[in-house]
Amino acid sequence: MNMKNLVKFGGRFTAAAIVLIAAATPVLAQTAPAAPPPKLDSGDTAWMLSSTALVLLMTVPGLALFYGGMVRKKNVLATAMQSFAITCLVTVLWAVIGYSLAFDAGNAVIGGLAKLMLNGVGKDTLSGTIPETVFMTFQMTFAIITPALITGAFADRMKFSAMMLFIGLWSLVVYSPICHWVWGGGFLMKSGVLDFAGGTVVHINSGVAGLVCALVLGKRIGYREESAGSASTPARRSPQTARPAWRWRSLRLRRRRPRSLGCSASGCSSASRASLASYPVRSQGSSPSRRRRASSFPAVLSQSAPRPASAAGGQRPSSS
Amino acid sequence: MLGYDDSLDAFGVHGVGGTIGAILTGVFAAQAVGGTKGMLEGNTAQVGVQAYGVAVTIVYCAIVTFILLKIVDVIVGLRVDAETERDGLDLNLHGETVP
Repeated sequence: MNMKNLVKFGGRFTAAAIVLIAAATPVLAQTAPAAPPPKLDSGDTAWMLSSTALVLLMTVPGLALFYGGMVRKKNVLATAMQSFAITCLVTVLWAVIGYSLAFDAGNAVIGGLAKLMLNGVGKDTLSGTIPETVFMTFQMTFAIITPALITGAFADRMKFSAMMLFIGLWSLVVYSPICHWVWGGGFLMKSGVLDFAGGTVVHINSGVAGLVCALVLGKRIGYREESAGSASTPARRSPQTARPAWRWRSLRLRRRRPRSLGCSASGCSSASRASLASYPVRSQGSSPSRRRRASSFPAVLSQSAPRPASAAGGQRPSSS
Repeated sequence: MLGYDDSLDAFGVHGVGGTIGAILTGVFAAQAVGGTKGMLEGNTAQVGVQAYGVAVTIVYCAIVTFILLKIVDVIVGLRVDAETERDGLDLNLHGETVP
């Protein structure tokens, strides 16, 4: 009897799981909407909001800590900062033009500009059974993590400014079109290519871009000659980089939809501005001047006292 | 072995993993779940379709990424100088180190 109940339960569980999966499928962007006009579904919306939060967590703090923890101690902050900065940058780009290029009808190759600045994406527009604002935010988290994954390929040696410029361009010129091809009704989707969670759009895209980056930038200094072991101490500061991003997202989750979207985008844009404002103006001068600037920061005061420019080249603060 | 220095294995993990996953999608796709039959359900052509998608993505991504990198290289330069790289990016780009 127990066995019978168990089998019965198992059967019900499987059936429930299949129903759940089937219910979740239409919102995966891959499947065409069903024939009857779709209706807002609170369950789908709640699940997609949770998924959005989970995918965002993969980048900040997930990827930031993961990559930050794999590089040498002298590069931990820079590497963690790349993920955080990309989150800010791509959030803004996605809302301004990226989403339109990827998911506006357009043609088979690229989306149009009808959804520029989220034009027409209001509180009543639906995407399948979920609000389009939720769909747009969910897709945004993929647009964020894809370029962030590339940073692993050029960690330890790329300029921050070059990284920001490259990622901004890459997001619009590579990510958005491919996203449109596969998920937004482009020619790959029409020819039946399946991509349920980003095999092509996210992983092949970031992996291949990473390979090209690694080849173009060349090897790190001392590659295979000195230990490139990771910082064995946990990256203590990285969680701080993730916290503001999370504050905006939790605001978004707590408030109503249209307003929340503004929060998310404006939060990221203000963070971008704050980052730019605090970004030290880099002189093109000789290294001593750079070292003087660097040692004026409190964090390094204890390690390297300011010293005359003439002696600066001789000693270096230990940082590896 | 191949001589490229992909610091944190972005290509090994995502490029290779993504390629295998995208092609195997054509093998394991189930009509009950995604609406399309895969090779296991008799639709062998789906594997070819997946491979086509993979090839297009790789080619487009590689070419355009290369062009973008060259453009950025001309505008700001891609790499930090050797001294900055030796000292670490934290100190030189962000003015701070992990204590």
